[in-house]
Parts: sequence; structure tokens; C-alpha cells
Amino acid sequence: MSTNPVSRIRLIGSAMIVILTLTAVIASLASIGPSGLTWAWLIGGAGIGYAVLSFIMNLRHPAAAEAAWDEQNTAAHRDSLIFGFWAVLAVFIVFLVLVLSGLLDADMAFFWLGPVLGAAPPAHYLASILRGRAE
Amino acid sequence: MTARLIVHLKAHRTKAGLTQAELADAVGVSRKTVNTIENGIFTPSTYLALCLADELEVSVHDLFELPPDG
Repeated sequence: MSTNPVSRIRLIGSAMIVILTLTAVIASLASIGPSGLTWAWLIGGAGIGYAVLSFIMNLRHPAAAEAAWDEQNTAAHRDSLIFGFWAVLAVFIVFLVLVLSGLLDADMAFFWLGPVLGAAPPAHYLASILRGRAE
Repeated sequence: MTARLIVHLKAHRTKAGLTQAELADAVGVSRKTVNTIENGIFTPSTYLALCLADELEVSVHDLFELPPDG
């Protein structure tokens, strides 16, 4: 793991959001665990907590923040946002087909687009870290 | 245009007696970025290439070279 505190928080935050979202998806598909609303609060709360902590760390460690957001990490972050856009678009089209064919409730489809939107970029960023293309 | 550069950064960094982390600190990037530049995975911007060359007191052409067919 990186010794840079800003990079470390980013890695932990991204992993936390991805793990929570995957757990929520698996739990919902298996109809176990808390309700979807509870998962939404958990994922949303974790995301907001990570954003606040990340903001504080960026302010407290400006030199580390500069290195954590250098050009390679910025490029990896930009790529993750591009991936997030296409992931949400793809999932939206799949959900649209499922809703139109009556296999999925429209409210539920709308609900699940949130986690996809929130977790796809961190998932891509994590993959970049694991591939050694970001820190 | 995706041709990979021939990178001599590691040789010049070692010659200067710097670790990846020390060079990264000196130019304000992460150690991972120096590592991926050295391995030819990441191609730095002109600005960063100039910063690296300046820090190692060599020219950018000493650090990076176009491949023979480039």
C-alpha cells in the first residue's frame, strides 16, 4: 500500500464503496440482509464519509495531495470516470429492456442505477491500482 | 500514435544516487509514476519530462529516445 496518506485514503475509500455495492447487489439478489433502503444509506453514507475525509486529507497534506493527484493518477481518474459513464449507459439500456419486458420494476431499476453510478468509477480506479497504473 | 519511448530514466536516476521515491518527491509526483515512466508504461507530459531532466541535470533527450522506426 502507498505511503502517501491521500492515496491511501483514496484506495481504502474506493475499495469500501466497491465492496459495499457488490455486497448489496449480492444480498439483494439472494434476498438476504437489510432492505435496499438500508443498503442505500450504507453506501451513500460511506461515500459521503469518504468524500469528507478525502477533502480534509487533501487540505492537511498539500504536498502528498499534489503527488497523489499527479498526471498519471489524474489520467487514471479520468479513465475511471469515462468507464463510469459507459457502465451506467450500458446498465441503463439493460434495465430499460428489463422494465419494458416486465421483468424489473421501474422504481427498482432507478434505485440500482445509483450504486452503479457511484461504484463503477472506483471499481475502475481500483483495477488501475491493481494493474500498477495508479497509486 | 502509440509508439513506446525508449526510456533511460532509471540509468540517470541511479547515476544521480536517487531512489524512485526521492526523485518523485523532488518533482512532486508519486513513486508509482516514476516507476511506470521507467518501465515505459506511462509516458510523461512535456512538463514532467522537463522537470525530471532538470532534476537529474541532463537533457530530455538523454532520458527519452524515439524507437528506431519512430
